[in-house]
Amino acid sequence: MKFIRHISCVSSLIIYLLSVYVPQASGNAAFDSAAAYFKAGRAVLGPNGWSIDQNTMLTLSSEAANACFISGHHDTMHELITEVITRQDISIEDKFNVIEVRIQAAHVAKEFKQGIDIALDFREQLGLPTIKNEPASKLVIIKEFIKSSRALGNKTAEDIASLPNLTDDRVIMGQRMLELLCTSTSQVSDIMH
Amino acid sequence: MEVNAKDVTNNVANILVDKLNRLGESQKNIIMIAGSLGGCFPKSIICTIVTSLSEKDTDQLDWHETLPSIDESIDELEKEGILEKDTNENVWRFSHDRIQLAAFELIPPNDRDSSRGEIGNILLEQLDDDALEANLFKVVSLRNFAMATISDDDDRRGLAQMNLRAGMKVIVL
Repeated sequence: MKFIRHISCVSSLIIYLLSVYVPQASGNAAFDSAAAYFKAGRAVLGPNGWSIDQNTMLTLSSEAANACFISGHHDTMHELITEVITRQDISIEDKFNVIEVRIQAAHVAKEFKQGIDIALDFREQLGLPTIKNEPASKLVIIKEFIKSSRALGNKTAEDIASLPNLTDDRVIMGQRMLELLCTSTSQVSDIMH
Repeated sequence: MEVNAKDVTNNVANILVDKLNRLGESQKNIIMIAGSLGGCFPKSIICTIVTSLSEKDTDQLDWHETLPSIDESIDELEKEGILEKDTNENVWRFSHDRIQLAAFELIPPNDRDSSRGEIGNILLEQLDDDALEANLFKVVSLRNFAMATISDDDDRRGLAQMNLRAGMKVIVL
């Protein structure tokens, strides 16, 4: 349990740092300027931008959402994220960047349950194993803990660190969701406090 | 009696702004381009733009007369106190923000955005890769002023991608 407490402390620190440094309105001039360029790029492509050049439009929108998140323009960020997420002609993998920003924004707004829902839903849409977001008994937690311990076996931290790098983008995205889930779950779980 | 340095500077700026209207045609042409480029500019960029404009068939302004007199005109503008040398070699700047604004306003209001767009397009065509990268923000900003006039989808795509590059670059810097 020491490991889980450690994760909990680290997650709390990350949330604190995000809440102190990230959401300050126009707190970062570079990201303000970047957002202006991304916005101009979207404006150049115009209302038919998605049909003119979908890749550029997607990258501009994702980067703009991230820049707006960091510079504190959250309304614009939500508009951009919604525009990307609701498009039917974009694959779930291509929505990863805005989903990641959306979860980080939920963390900053202390909407951790929403962050969990989004991350789990994204993993499910990727077709990766996803647990149900429902209360679990201590028995279930112990069972999952034993499964994890067995999977780890006698591997040391060095063994794990020297594992080959992941190459499957879908799995890499799923792992990132697990990282973000650690932050959310550590904040909402009563056991951790 | 206390002398207010800011007022003195502003009065000098007013006098220099008046001087702009009395400049010769070549000097006016150069100062209008410089005013579009912003507070400071390399002389080489002015040469590139004037050369390109003199090659184009434009009857609005006589760029053929301006081309051979660029050095002379810039020296004259420095003597008049309108421009001053920057610490970087071959880079010049306006001696006051208001002079730069007044220089830009010599361009008729309806032509300002299209002029800036044209200057941006010339720089895009004429600068080599390194020079373009060094002037990326300037070129993108100039071209953005004329975005409403772009009708070709490939041109739209090109400018959108330049904005993407500029945005990514400003984050990394």
